[in-house]
Formats: sequence, structure tokens, C-alpha cells
Amino acid sequence: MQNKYRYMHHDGRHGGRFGFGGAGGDRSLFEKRVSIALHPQNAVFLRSPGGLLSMTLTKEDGSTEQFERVIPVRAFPITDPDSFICIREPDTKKKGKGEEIGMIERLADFDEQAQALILEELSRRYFTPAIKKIHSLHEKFGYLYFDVTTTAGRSEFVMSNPSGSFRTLEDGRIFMYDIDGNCYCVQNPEALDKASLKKIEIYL
Amino acid sequence: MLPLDKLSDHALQALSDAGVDTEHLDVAFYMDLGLNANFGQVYLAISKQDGKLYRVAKDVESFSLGALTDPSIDNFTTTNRLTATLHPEGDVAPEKTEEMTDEEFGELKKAYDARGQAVIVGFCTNSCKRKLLAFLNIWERLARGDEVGEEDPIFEQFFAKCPKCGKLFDDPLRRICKNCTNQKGTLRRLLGYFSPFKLQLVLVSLCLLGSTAISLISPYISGKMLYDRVISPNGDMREEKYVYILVGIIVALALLSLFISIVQSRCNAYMSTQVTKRMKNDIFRAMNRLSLSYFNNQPTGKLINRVNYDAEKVRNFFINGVPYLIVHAMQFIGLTIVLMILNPWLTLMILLPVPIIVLIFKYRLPHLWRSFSRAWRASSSLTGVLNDSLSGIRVVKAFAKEEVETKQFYGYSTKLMQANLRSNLIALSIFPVISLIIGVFGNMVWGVGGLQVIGKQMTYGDLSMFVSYMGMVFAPLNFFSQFTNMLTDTLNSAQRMFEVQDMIPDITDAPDAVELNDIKGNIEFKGVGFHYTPNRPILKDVSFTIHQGDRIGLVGHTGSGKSTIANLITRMYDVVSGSVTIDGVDIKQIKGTSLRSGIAIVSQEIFIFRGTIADNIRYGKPDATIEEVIAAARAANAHDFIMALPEGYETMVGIGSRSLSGGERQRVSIARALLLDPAILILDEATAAMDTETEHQISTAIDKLIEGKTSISIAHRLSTLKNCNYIMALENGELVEMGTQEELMAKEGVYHKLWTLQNEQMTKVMEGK
Repeated sequence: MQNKYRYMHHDGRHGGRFGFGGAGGDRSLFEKRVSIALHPQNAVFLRSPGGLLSMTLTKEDGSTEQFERVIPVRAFPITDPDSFICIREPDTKKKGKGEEIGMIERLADFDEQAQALILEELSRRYFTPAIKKIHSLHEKFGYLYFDVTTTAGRSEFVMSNPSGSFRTLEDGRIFMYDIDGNCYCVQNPEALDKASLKKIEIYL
Repeated sequence: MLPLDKLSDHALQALSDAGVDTEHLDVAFYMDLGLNANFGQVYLAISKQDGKLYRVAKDVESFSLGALTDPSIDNFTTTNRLTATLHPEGDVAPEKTEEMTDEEFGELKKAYDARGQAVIVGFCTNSCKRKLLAFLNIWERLARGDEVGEEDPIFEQFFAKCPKCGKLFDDPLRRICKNCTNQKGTLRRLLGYFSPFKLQLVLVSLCLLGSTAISLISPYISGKMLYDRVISPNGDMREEKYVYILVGIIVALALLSLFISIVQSRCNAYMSTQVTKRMKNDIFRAMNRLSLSYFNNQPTGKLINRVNYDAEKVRNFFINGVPYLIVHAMQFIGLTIVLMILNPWLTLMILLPVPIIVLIFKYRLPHLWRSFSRAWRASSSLTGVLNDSLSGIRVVKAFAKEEVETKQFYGYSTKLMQANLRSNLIALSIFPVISLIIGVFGNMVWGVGGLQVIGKQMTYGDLSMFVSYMGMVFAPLNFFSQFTNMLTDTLNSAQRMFEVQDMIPDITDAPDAVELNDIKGNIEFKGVGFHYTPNRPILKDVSFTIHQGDRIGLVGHTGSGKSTIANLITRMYDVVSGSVTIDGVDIKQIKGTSLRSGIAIVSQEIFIFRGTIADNIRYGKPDATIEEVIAAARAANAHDFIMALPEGYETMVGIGSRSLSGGERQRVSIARALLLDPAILILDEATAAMDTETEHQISTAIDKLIEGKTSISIAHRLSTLKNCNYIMALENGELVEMGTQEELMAKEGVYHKLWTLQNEQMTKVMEGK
């Protein structure tokens, strides 16, 4: 079979998983692209003329598939950012349904240029400015108002539900989520100046 | 310019420097990230007159609206990337003419699409998300040549107004009106709870005055009078009877003081319990009023904490705080005056340590507060963990994770212990030091005073009185320090309480909302877009019409947005874009109560309240007769199992009582919905947990009941939908097919595939493969 797609179906009683042959060239509802392992031999990443990440995939049968734009997504964005990176189609009306094309197990396998391209794309996706200084922090009606300087510049943000919006990792990093769903982090609380640390200390 | 974002002066200047007619810009949008994806400022502006989109970053760039098409958003985790397709200048999108066949047009379109390339327009954080969506909408409409007016409904979301004062909210998502909240300070608002108790308040004030007076007089009688005038050799009342009289007065005063404090405590107890009750009721009512989205964002443990502890804290403040504050303040001032008159030098000596103590409080107490606050949070987390693991105890046991859960609990309780320990240690480093200072100065007063008595500068009675008063000066200091603490705590609690009360629900009745008493059941979705969190669109531009009496089957795989459609029809959430109408009226214009009384929903999530089975069935219609309840139970096929229960319809169910099986609970909830006799019935996987036979029985019963009514059944199993006359198939938030079963089968599309799949599977089962 040329197009191998797998459809996973869950039925209330029986439950099961079985293969489903694609009827035609067009993929639709229940046919899914089978994600394959991506490595430097079958995936070439380039920057498109419009500045986006594009990819040429060489399939097992030697044919190639061109993607004008692909979206890299991390499976473990916090603890293992450079491994298990999924390459997906964009999820837009005209171009793809956000399906996974394949997964890069180790980014380090790729050459520096490809790595840099993918990392640049990822850094935008996971835009998490690291806080360098907290200028002010005050609490009002259970909301925290921050004024900070970060690696990406000065910013102000509001946080609701302080006890649920701080996430302290075992390695000491602190993630802070604001009311809009933006994320800020403190890379190393011990390296933060004392006055800044003192401001957030009680919420940790 | 349309009321979305305003251009900064700098951007305006840059645009006019580039020769742009800034007077005729239609709309501007501010992106808070630069093109290098760091914080920065980029403005996009569209001028319909020029047919251009301008981007103001470092330089001004312009794109022709005809060449830059199909704007779309890459929903990143914390940022959004706006991209569009850029065509070569002069490349015009093909238009379908009459002599063109569909295929020819398709070819042209494909070729046109291929000539365009995706380009990055800009980046912004999630803070700009809502405006970004609106900007995209306006962009597309302006590019089409449509008019977009200032009154366009798309702007409503940015101009949420406080219903009380009519001012705009600072943050449309927070819906707390600073204007209305600040006008009445938190403390004054708390006092508002006491306003119905004027008599008690007067009585309490009198008691406070009385007890202050007694505490000021007592040392005079037991000190000055007893020693100097009765016991002293040259006293003018050195007679036995005066001893009895004075001792009698002292005892009487003590009794009077006791009596006053009893009266005061009783008044307080009466007031405070009433006030606590009212506060708790208010919080509970306020919470219930809030929209579902609030509850999705708050852990249940935290909400329980709010209802219980915060109100208790406030109560404690008014019982053990405020009255003593008044007593101590009056005492402190009164005493200082009396002591100054008695002996200024000795008084100054007493007051000497006061600044030291105040300084210690000022610099050490904030630590204590912070650690208390941390302890409160730790305790809240512990409650959360407890709640989580006990609610999920079945899963915990099924995976044999008791130990892991216990360890996790140990972790949290250790954190709480540490937080409490820390608080105690800090407290211990403050208060003993203060006691020591007070002790030292107290002894010094004895020494200096003793010398003065020997030197006949003062009498022994004066000194004794002085020492008694001195104790009374220091006692309030300790209290004052704790009082600030208490006040902060209480204000925190009160703020949390009022925050819930002040929060204006996302979903409120429009001021001109109408009662729709007789809902017929025509439902229309027009271009509905929806998301729960900005970065995960659930529905994208869904439009359909359901007519009265239609039986709709909604299919699509998990996460395709089926249940969301049900949530939007019942207005659990408001649409992000587009509109939902019932009988031609936008549901935002229909009173919530009348909307919900016309729609019943049986969902995947079933909750059985504490109470009898009959109460549970009657939940939506408390005045239903017994006949109606039984009829509904019969229709839902619940009657038989209910009759098998020991107390029939009066069996207690719910938490802590008899638990029903999944299928039984589901049948009760179906009966609950059927009893409402709604115009629109939504069955969201309602029969999924039942065996085929029961499902069949119920669906026949339901079919009879819903005749002439609109029903929407959401199901995975197509057999459930066999009585539906229309099928809608959703995929990835889009409506991909709609029609009768025959039509869809003939179309050989999504539905056909689903049907074939389930059929195939059935055959496999039958053949024993």
C-alpha cells in the first residue's frame, strides 16, 4: 500500500485499534499520516524565502515531499528541550491540519545550520523571558502586579491565583504564568539579586 | 479609526514621514513583540483607501492588501506568529466566471496559491491575542471591501463595562471594577455587615467604656486609697471599717467588670455568628453566580477555603480584635495622661522602651507576616492535595499508588510544618526579647520609685498604683503589634471574599435581555469561533441551522468540538466570534433563566446531589408532581432499579449515602432532563455507559418524548443516532458534513467512512476475528 495511514478508533464497548487503508490520494477525517523518525538523511531543513522553516522529506521509496512550512514542537519543553522534537504541519485552513510529519529524537544529530534554524523557531514558540530583576511586585485583590526586566526586555504583567501560577522545578528554576497565559522564568533563583528574590519568595 | 489599538505618536510620525495619509487609516493593531521576537513595539495599520497594510517597526513597510492575503495565526505556546501569503505585485486572485468549470477554476486557484509564499507579518504575546483575532477578522473584511463600523459587534469584547457604574474595566478579562471596589474601602465594607446590629453596637461600646473606666479606677482604689489613706500610719481613714469598705469596692468592681464582659461577649457572639452566616452565604451565592470558566480555573480546595476560613478569620477579627483595640487604645491614652500627672519623670522612664519595641515590631514583624502568609498557602495546598487524592481514591487504589500518594502528602505536610515552624521561630525571636525589655524597665521603675518613696518624693501607694498602671501600658503594645498582623490577615481574607463578590461573571444577562417563555427550538450558529484558552482554538467558523423538531446527530472524534457546541447552546460559555441564536434571538439577549429552562442537557459528567432519588430527579423542576417524577423515571428506564432500592424513590443517594452505579446515575440524570420537558434536549454521550439493550429501551422512550422537539445527540456509536434525521460531522473544530443519513451515505464522505468502519468492526466481531 502506498499511503500508510493509521486510524485509531475507540469504541465505547469494544475498544480497538486497526489499520485503515486510504481510499484515495486526499487524506481526510480518519486517515492520519504515520509519524516517522526524522534524521539528517531523510529530512532537510531550510529557511523559506518568507523566513519560515521549511522541510524536504525523503520517503522510504525515494520520493520526496516538500513542506513550505513546518512547525517544530517539543515533547519535553522543560526538562529535555533538545530531544524528541515533533515536526508538524501548520494547523491552518489551507495548509495542513497540524498533523505530525515526524519526530527528531536528538536535535544534535543535525548539522549546525539546521539546528540553528529549528532552535530559532522553537525559541519563538516557547518564548519564556528569563527575569533578571523584579522592579516592583504588589498584591491587590489576590492579583500580583509585576514590573520586571527580562532577557527579552522590560515587561509588566499581571498574575492571578499566585499559588497556582508559580511552578518550581526540581533543578530550582521557577516558571511564572501570567493572566494571559504568557510564561516568565527565573533561571537560577540564587543568582537573582536579593531584593528581587525576596519579593517572590513567599509564593514559592 | 476603528477602536482597536491606537498608534503611538512615534508610529504616527513614522507613517506620515513615509508619506502615508494617517487621517484615513482604518484600523491599527499593536504587537508587543518586535520582529526579532523580543519585547518591542510593532504596529500594523490598514488603510482601505490606499488598499495597503502598513507595518511600523524600525522602518515603515507597506504591503498591498491584494498581494498579502490569507492572514493566519501560528498558535505558539506563549506567543503568536502572524503569517500571511505574499503574492507577486499585480498577481490577482482568480475569480470564477460563468464559462469556467469547477475544475478549471480549481486549477487557476491552485496556480495562484502556488505563486504566493508564506511570510511572517509579526509576533505578539498572548496578551494581544484577543485583539489579534479581531484584527485578523477586520483585515479580511476590509480586504474584501466590506465596511466595518465603530459599532461593530467585534469590539464589544474590549469594552466590557461595569454594570454598576458603567465605566470600562481596566482589564476586560478580570471584570473587577476598581472604581466600584475602591469607593468603599474593604474595612468599611466589612463594617457594613454590622449595620443591622445598631443596638448591640451601642451596648458593646458602653461595655467597652465601662470596662476601661473600671480598669483605670481599680489601681487607684487598691493602690493609692488602700495604702496611703487606710494602711499608711498617717492615713486619714485608718479605721478597720474602711478596710472592709475598700476591699468590698474592689471585689464589687471586679464583679462589675466580669458582668460587663459577659454582656459584651454575648452581644459580640450574637452579632458575629449572624455576620459570619451572612458572609458565608454571600460568598456562596457570589460563587454560584460566576460562570463555569471561573470554576475551571480554581481548585475546589481553594474555593472551600474561601467559603469557610476567610469568613471565620473575619469573624475572629471582630470578636477578638476590634473590641480590644478600642479598649486598649482608650486605656493607653488615658493611662499616659494619668501617669504624666502622677509622676512625669517616672512616666518618661516607662515610655523609654516604647520606641525600641515599636522599632522591633516594625522591622521584625514583616518577616512574621510573610511566614504566616506562606503557612496559609501551604495549608491551602495541603487541603488541595488531600482533596485530590481522596476524590481519586479509586484510581489510586487501582494503580496501587497508596504509598506514592502518602509520600506526596508527607511532602506537603512537611512543607506546612516547616512553614509553621518558621513562623513560630520568628515569633519566638520577637516576643521574648520584648518581654525582657519590658521586664528590665519594670524593675528599674521599682528601683527608682523605691528610692523616691524613701526620699519621701512619692508615697508607697503612688508607687504601687504606678506599677499596676505600668503593666497596663505594656499590655496593649503587645496587642497592637499583633493587631496589625491580624488586620492584614483579615484584610487579606476580606479582599479574597470581596474579590469573588465583585467579580462580574463572564456571562451576564444583557440589560435588555428578553424572557423567551416559549422556546420553539430553532437553533442557528453563524460563523462561531470558540476557544477555552487563547492558544487552542476549539471551533473555527462553524455555521449551521437546526429547525424545530429536528433530531440532530453530532459525530466526530474526541476533541473535535462536539461537547463545546452543547456548551455554547446552553451558554455555559460565550462565543469568541460569531453568534448563536435560538428562535432568531441571539442567546446573549435571552435571560439566562428562561434560556436554561427551555434546554435540558444530559452530559457525560453526572452529578448526583445529596438527597433522595426523587429530589434528584426533581432538581430542575422542584414543583413536579409525584406522577411526573415517576413518568420521567419510567421514560428513562430508571423506574425498575429505583423500585428495587429499599426505600424506593425516597432512598438517600449522593455523597456519604448509597452510591448508584454509573448506568443508574446516568438514568437518573436522563430522568432529570426529561422531567423538564424542554424544547431542546441535548444528549451528550448520554447513553454511552449503558448496555445496548438498555440504550435501546431508553432511546425508544426518548424518541417518544422528543417528538416535535429539537434534540441534539452527541455519540460515538452510530447505532445511537439511528433515529436522527440529520447528521452533522465535526472535524478539528470545523463542520465538514451535514445532511440526512442517506445523503451522507451517498456522499461517501466522513460519515460514510465512520459507518463503514463500525460496520466492519461489527462484522469482525460476529465472525470471531
